[in-house]
Amino acid sequence: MFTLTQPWFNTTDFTVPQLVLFAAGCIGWVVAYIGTAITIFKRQVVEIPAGAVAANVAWEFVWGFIFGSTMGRAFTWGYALWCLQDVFITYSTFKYGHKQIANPHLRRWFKPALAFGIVAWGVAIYFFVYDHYDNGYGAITGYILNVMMSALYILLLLQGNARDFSPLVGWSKMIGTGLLSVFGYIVNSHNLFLMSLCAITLFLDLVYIALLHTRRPSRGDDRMSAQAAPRLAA
Amino acid sequence: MTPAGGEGLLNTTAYGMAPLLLFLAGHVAWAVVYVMVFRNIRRHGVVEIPAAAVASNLAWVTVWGFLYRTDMGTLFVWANRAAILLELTVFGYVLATGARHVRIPEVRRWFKPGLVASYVCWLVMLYLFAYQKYETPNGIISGLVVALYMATLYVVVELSDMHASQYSLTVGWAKLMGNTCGSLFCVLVYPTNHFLLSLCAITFILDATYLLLFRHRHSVSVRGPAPA
Repeated sequence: MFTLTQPWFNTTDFTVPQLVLFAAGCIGWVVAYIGTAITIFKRQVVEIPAGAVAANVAWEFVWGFIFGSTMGRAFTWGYALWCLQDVFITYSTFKYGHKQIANPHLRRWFKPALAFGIVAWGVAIYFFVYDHYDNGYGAITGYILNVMMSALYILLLLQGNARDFSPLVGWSKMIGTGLLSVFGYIVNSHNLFLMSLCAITLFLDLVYIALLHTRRPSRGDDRMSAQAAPRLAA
Repeated sequence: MTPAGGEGLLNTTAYGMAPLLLFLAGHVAWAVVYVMVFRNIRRHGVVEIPAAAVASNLAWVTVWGFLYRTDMGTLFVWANRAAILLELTVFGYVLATGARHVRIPEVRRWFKPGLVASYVCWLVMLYLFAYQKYETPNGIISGLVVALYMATLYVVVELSDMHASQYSLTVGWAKLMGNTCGSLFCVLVYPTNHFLLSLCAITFILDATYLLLFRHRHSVSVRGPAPA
């Protein structure tokens, strides 16, 4: 559980290079979030799939504010800071996320569905951790989310305009998750379920990067852009 | 998860009769779902189960029909094995004909390799989830994860306003009853597994939402369009 008396870095169970590797992976995701925020400001588009935004913010809240990482207080606070960073992305998803949905019938239900998604993921992740299915730093739940998120990224890219997806976000999330997977391999290689999640996430991230660089931005399909929003909402 | 020697048709040593009958009732409800799904394939040429759920369903029955053996008795062992035939038929049909749920051409282009990749990924994850001892000896946790995934996709497909005539209200009810029987089984057998019970609750909300949306849309289509 989250405490204020926990040491800043757990150097008893982890070596310093391991902690540095994990921190580098986390920084990859900070860069991805900054890239996402830049796209939001520039184009009023959220490039993280809405389903993944709901799961992410729920995970960060559960791990940053309720359970806390066994890797040290610095990492727990890092999760909490991620959550605060994600509050902006979640707010923007409520505001602009409907542009991810092509079908007007679905778009009408977008906001209640997103709210339900956040609560449902929060409850499921909380009890998964509470019932001791997860490890001390949230890798199992984190990677279940990552698999879903990486799959949704591909689906969203195939549906949308490549201009709305930043290579900075694609690369930084793949490198960030990749570094966390290397860390996972070093400390949890016996957990084959976790290793399979790492491998599937890497495979999906590579497919995403390949698609991102092969798809040409199209002027005709501007569904998610700011200019297209009023036309679609009408 | 290993073969339990000498178990009967129903394993009344490890489970009470009431949970076993509830679980059996859930299987009967799911059999009704598949009867209706096959009927709709014959009538309309469409699979009303969302394509992504077809892959996860087949993966689950492959794992729990072939690779692991449920400890609930030989009746359920053979039910899981028989389900492979049903799921394989549905999967083969979707793979051969493509998904009519998918409207975006770019997604349709990648549909078949995507479906096969999805099946392989689910298969690996579900197998290793049980291998790593996260699972109960009857596969109910991953079963509910797959049911929740399917319930979510059903709501999305319903909300996307597919042609009402291609979907069956009976499937909606049978799915709700099947999952509810499974959930009551969980309440009786695993009352302290909060994660499992949270999956049951979320699945129930989604199944009930699907039915409400279905009935709402059906009543609108019966009334017809409002006068201009």
